[in-house]
Amino acid sequence: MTMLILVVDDEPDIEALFRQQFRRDLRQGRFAIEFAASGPQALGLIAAAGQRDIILLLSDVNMPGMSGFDLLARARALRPDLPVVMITAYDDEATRRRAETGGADGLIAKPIDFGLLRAEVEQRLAGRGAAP
Amino acid sequence: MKRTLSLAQRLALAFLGLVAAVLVINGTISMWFAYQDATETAVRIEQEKADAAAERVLQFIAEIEQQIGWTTRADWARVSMEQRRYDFIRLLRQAPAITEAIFVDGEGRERLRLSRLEPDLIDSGTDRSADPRFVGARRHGTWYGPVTFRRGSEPYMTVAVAHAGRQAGVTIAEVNLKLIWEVITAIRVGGTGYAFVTDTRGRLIAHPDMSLVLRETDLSALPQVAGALAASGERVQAARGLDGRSALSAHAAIPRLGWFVFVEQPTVEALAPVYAAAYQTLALLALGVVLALLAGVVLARRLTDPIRALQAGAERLGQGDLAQRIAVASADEIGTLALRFNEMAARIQDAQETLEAKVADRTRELAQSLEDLRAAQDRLVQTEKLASLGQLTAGIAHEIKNPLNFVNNFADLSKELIVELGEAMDRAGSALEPALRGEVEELCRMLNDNLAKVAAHGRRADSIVRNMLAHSREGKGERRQVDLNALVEETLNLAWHGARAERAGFNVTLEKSLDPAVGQLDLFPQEFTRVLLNLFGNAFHAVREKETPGFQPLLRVATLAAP
Repeated sequence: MTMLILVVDDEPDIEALFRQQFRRDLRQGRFAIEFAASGPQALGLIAAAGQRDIILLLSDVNMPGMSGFDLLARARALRPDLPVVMITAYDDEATRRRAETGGADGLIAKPIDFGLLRAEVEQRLAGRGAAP
Repeated sequence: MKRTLSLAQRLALAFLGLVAAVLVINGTISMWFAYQDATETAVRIEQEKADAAAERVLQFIAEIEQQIGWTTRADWARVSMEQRRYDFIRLLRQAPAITEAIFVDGEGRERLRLSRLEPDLIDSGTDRSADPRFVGARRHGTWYGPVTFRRGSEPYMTVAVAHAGRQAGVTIAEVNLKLIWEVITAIRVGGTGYAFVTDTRGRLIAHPDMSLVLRETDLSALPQVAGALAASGERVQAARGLDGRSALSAHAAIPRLGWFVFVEQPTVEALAPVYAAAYQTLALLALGVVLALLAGVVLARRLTDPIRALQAGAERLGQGDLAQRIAVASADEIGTLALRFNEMAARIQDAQETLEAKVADRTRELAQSLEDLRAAQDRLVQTEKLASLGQLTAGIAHEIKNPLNFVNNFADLSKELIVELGEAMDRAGSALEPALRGEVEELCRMLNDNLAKVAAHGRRADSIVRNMLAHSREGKGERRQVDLNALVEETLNLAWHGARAERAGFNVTLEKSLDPAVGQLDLFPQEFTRVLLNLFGNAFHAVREKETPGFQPLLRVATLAAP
């Protein structure tokens, strides 16, 4: 089963961006990416994923309704081992601290440095390859 | 309860008291002097009469003695009985008061008795040696017997005179004192004044009322008689008349006999002028009091009426009638006071008017200040708006990063894709396989799409910045055709991010229901954006106010095209 990356953002264009960035990986079938426009939708995807291996949950912090931090807590409640990286435009001290206390595995500032993100994904993929 | 007298009453009473006091003092003093004068005058007159009466009595007795003296000469012892008898007849003739004459020789035997009523008696030889008349005369030279009454009412007294020479005889004469009685009875002092005579023991011997004398009334108990008997020489003040009433009394002593002549007048009568004067004084006092009362009332009225006018004026002034002036015409202190009072009222009135003018001025100034304050408040509100706009701007600056994220990333991607396209073209050479051609075509399509997106996000960023600037800038924008739904969405986004920027933990679910039929509208987009921003801002503010744990706010925004 292909490993899964979940991307949560209320910006619809995020899907195109990610699909093009990781087009080769997706073409080769190294992993799949699923997109959610809100927190509740993301929780639905997590639930629907069942036993599939979600190597990373990428979530925007600023979203109408359920915020990224709310989603972090709820997702952790569903799957405690789920790696979560927050994405924010507010790259300040308060947000960093909140991410840290909330148990996020990382925080990426906008505009997203896809080189950094790719390294993160590769690291996770390598971890999965070694484990089984 | 103590009653308070008015000023007029007090003044009238004071005046009355003063006049009454002066009248009473004056009356008392004049009465005292009148009393003194009346008393002294009465007593002086009495004294004169008493002295005169005493003189008359003394003279009477002296004459009797002188007449008897003819028979007591030394050579009379040697004359014959006939001669003696003749001398006695002459004695009786010359001294009518003598009613009986007796000659007692040196051995105490009666030798001759001549009487106007009885026959002569010669050499009766009756022993008179123990007779008090004989003994008294032999011892004292002259002896006066007690006063006796004979023949009913006439007073008699025995006078015995010893003859000159050794073992000489004694001539005894019975003397009728009727003359003394006449003298005393004749004395009149005033209307009811009278005189009387007492002997050495205070027994009454002459008085106008004979019955008192006949009863041998003892007057030694009367103060004036007791005083005379005591020979103290002081005039007795508290004399009492025979009738027991108070009397003014004077007396004179008759030395040889030891008698006293009293002349008295009842005090009531003696002091009648004083009493009259007293009544007069009392009448004057009453009249004076009445006059003083009237004068006091009139005077007090004249004094207090202006004061009352002053008081009434002051009360009206005190009640706020500042136009009030006091009409007091007098030129005295009260008139001056009223004048000052009126001046003061005028000044107060003036001051109040000035005060009212000042208050009006201050009110105008205050109103002006209020206007200024309101203007300042408006400016402050504007400033506050600008401040929140600053926060909004900061939020926007962050949010710009989102579209920029896409702009940058898609731009990078486009570069990559172009590179890949170039590589693909190289590999294809001149003869392109259909598959490759397809890929190239796909890449081209993607590239075109991306470029379109870059442009779109660029426009978006531009729009945000433009809106932001439009909000912060004052003044009217221009009227143009606007996609209302796009404007609403953009503004809602802006407001939400602004609220987020204002408070990090803030969140609210947004539910948009935008009717596509709304389409393009002709409006002022800047003003409309400002209205929407305020509307959404108020909604977020209301949500923040109600925020409690578990609270899940929802903002529903809808547009609807009118049918």
